[in-house]
Amino acid sequence: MSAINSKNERIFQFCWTAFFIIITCIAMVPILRVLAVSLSGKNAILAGKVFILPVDLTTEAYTRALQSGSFVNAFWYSIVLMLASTVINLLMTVLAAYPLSKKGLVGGKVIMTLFVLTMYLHPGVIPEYLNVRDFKMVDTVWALIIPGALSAYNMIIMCNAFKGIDEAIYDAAKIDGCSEARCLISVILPLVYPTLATLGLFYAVGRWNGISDVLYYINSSKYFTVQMVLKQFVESINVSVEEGLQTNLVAENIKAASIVISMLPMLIVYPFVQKFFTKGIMVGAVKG
Amino acid sequence: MKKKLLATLLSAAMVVGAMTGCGSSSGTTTDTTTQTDTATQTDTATQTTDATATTETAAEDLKGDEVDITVMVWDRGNAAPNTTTEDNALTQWIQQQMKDLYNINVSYVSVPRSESDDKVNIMMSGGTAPNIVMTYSQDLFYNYASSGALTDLSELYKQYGSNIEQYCGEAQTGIADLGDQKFAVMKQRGTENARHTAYIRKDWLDQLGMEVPKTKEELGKYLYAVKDAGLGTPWGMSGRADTEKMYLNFLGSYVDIPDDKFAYTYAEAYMAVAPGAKDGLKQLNTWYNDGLITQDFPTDTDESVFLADVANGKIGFVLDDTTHIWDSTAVLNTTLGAEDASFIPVQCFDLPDGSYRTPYEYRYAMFVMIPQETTSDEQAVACMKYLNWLADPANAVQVRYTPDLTYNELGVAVEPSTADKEAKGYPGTCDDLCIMNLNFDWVNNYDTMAESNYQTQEQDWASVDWYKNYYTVCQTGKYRFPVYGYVSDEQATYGTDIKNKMLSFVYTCICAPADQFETVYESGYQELVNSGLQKILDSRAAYYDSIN
Amino acid sequence: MKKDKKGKVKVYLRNNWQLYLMLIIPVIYMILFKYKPMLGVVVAFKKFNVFKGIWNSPWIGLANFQEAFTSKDFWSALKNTLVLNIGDLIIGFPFPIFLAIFLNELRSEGVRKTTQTLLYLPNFLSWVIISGIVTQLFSNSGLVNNLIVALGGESVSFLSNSFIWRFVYWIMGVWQGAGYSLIVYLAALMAADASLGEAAYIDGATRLQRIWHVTLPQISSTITVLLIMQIGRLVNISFDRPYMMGNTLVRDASDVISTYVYSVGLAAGRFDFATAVGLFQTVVGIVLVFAANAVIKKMGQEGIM
Repeated sequence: MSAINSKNERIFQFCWTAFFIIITCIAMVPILRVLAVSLSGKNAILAGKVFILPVDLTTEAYTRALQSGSFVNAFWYSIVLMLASTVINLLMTVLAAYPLSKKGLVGGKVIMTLFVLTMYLHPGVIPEYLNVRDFKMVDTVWALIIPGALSAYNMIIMCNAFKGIDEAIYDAAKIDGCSEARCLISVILPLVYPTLATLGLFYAVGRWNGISDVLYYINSSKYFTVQMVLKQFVESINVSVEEGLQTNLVAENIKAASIVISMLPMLIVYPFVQKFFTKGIMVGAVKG
Repeated sequence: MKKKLLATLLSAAMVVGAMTGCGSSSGTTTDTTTQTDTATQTDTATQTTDATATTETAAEDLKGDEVDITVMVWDRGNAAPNTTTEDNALTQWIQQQMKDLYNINVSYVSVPRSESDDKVNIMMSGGTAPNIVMTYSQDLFYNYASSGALTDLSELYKQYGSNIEQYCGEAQTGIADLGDQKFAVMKQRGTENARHTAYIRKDWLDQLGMEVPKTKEELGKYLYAVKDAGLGTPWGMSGRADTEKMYLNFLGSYVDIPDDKFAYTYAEAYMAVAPGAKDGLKQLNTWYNDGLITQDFPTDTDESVFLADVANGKIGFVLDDTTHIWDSTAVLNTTLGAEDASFIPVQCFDLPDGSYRTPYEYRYAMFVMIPQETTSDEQAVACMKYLNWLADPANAVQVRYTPDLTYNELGVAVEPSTADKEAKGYPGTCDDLCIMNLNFDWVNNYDTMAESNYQTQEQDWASVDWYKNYYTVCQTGKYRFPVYGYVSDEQATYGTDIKNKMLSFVYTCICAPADQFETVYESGYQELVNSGLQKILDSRAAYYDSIN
Repeated sequence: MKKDKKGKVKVYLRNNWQLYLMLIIPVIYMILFKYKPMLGVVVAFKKFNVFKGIWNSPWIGLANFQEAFTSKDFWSALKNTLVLNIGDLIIGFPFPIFLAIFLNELRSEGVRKTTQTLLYLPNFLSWVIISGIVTQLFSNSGLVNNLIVALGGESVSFLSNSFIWRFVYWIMGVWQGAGYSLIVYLAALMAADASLGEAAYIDGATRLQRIWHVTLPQISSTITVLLIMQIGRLVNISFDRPYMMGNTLVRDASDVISTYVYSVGLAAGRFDFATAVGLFQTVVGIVLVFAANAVIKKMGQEGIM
């Protein structure tokens, strides 16, 4: 264990830490820019003076964005929607992935192949819309939850994680007399917490950022998610030329502020997701 | 507390609404009813809708049985707190009016503005479209109209469209007609204006001791002088991939339009390939290679570089959407410290015969349509009544500027301030509910508009005279290309693709090395032809012949 | 004999009925929401009429496919799609693996977690915003060129030269997407047994040996799974990224299938045509995913099917 503190190791740690800090800084440039724009004055932005540091510092944009009615309403609604759909997504994913990870399951291969193929099916928006309409889900929150309840991509990742678990653990659980369901809940799931947390994050982000289903299936603006409102907010200027309005409907800094605010929930959730990462290690270590 | 406040506001809004509603409509409804009274009985005695009305008094005539209609409204994510786009003080006011006047229950369906056409498409295909939908796209309109998806409005328009005819007549040019059927009513635009306008740096002209150019030749001299003096980029361009605003007026000035057929054939998206336009491209190419035009401008797709350059005073001349650079100019003038300190509008694109041609916006704005599948006859009648009501400027002004509007000393309507609107629960863009008419008394009095522009500017960057001069310049050589509702199969199929390719073609020609211009032009033109350009032009010429 | 078989089935079902029960809902979901709408692809063989809808529009046979396959633009869009996607595969695919492995080597918990979080953030920015930043960085008067000129170099046409533009496209893709796969790999590494690494370390293996023989195998199955899926998507490409990043001067590189379908199909309301091209992509995608799966299996790895 003395090698951990050797000189080589220290140099290695130092260099790679520096490397990652640089990479991260580069990656942060665009985000810093959005942040800077959100805190800058309108004229400075128009004149292209803002890059990653705010010019004419002002928080007016945040006040304005937070005052906008649609935005605040949509915000809370989106959070609830995101949580609900993430739970359903994860449930569906585990329900499909667990049986399909079993090697000997009769018919499992066929079902798996059918799932894989769904990733490459593109029925087009109209058939998808008609389908949702046939289930009477248009203009209900269900249209935002059910059609995307399971992503084959994530399911396959989950399945892969289940496959990675040592057979011996299953056998031990079986000997203890666990049913499949018990075994899954109390023994297997804790072992794949990191993957579960990751997929939960992906589902949550997907739901949070997803716009097209909101656009197609929702007609009442009370069911618009925050990203939809934001998109309207940010892009309404693009179409105003044909309308002859030609006024700056929403200033750049307010748009940027809205983007920053819309990213906040993810920033808050993320540290909790990371908690599960460590937990997975602990459980893994215990079983060894 | 909040609820109570809202309730008081709502009731206040309703009282105001009821009062103003009575005042404004009493005058107009009486004369429309007398017209439609006879029409109802003679033309469509078979229609059941107004059968009950016959026994009632004339004023009650338009107030038939209770009808529910749904109307599309654009959502821009800017509703007031605790309201939605489809349910707010303004929609409630309109709903109340409709209920009182015609016994129509209006409800709204919000459609995200930026994806409007996509969403309308989906709803039309899925049979869930509201009773009134709208689009700016002629292609979309024609697609619906020709496939039978829209209600024929000819008869309804005759019966119930008197206000539209009277106040929005300029917009009903036949663009929405297919044969003798009418499939949409058109929204009427407000201020009549040029589409694109050129601006030049007055201070640089003074500095160089030059007059405001009146011809392209003089413009060329100015551009070279700017470059030689090292003042900045002589002609600033941006690279939006969806509009030809950066070059269209310039290229158009090389094209001699002999007759209407020619004008229609090349209107206006095809101007860049009309006979003569090549000389204009060649000129731009020369100027580009002489360093007079922003280098690599097509990469500036979001115009941020261009607008920043304008604001920072690095550009000597621009051609753009007519008011697009005003904000940036305001920044520049503020920096320079005076009103009118930099850009002034200019028309210097002389035609071969020495005159000017400034393409104007059409008087119509968007297509307002009634889908066939989801609309019953009764609903169609109700929709037309609704639209007709909105066409009356007395009503339109209250929708556009809210029922709480005030008039300034110029007689121009002023909507409440943003904060005021939010407090009262009015939507951020009231214009989205005013879907028929923006043609108010004052909008085409340019002196009033200049005064009004001056009074409403956020920063003190331009004088009244500047604005007056702006309208004068815009009117120089006012011209409108002929337009028809018909869209040929060829155009429907290849139109969008050609439009995109045309932009690439022009940008590539401008940026080509001088010695390769001919080859780049030839190969680019050939590609356009192969992609269907010639078919489109032929079909347009053929259509013109077929109707004249 | 027959009875024996029946008995076996009975035993098998008694042991596994819970597994099948679990599968019921996902399978029903899959059929109703993924396969049922696929019936709508018949529109690819029809002339779509908004009023008549999918089922009543008239048949036109293979005309849409014929139009696509005889169009020069379609083939150049397909070529560009493949070039851009293969570039993503070569540049964008290994990068997160590399990051994950070395991030895993770091001892500082703080750096590890912060990096991981921050690298994921670009995922939240839409391509509209990213492309605005790209212009500001790489345009003729952009920061990068200003820097090059200040250092005495000659300014580079990053955005107007198709060849260089592709690299900008790929690099921005890495920047935007790396954080996403990074987390998947890190999760796989976390779940794997940490004690093995320690053991190899004590046995005197060098760091590279340890990465090669211990760390990589721990995530190899995740790598193959992601690889197969990405290969299956070689002919699919998002609309936003090439459209927003591209400009008229690099259209010979940035015109891809999605933008082609948009300008020739969707913009003109031709859903039939768009569906036809979509069907082509589906078929190619399925062929590719089966092929990749078979190759991976031949190499002794476990595929996804």
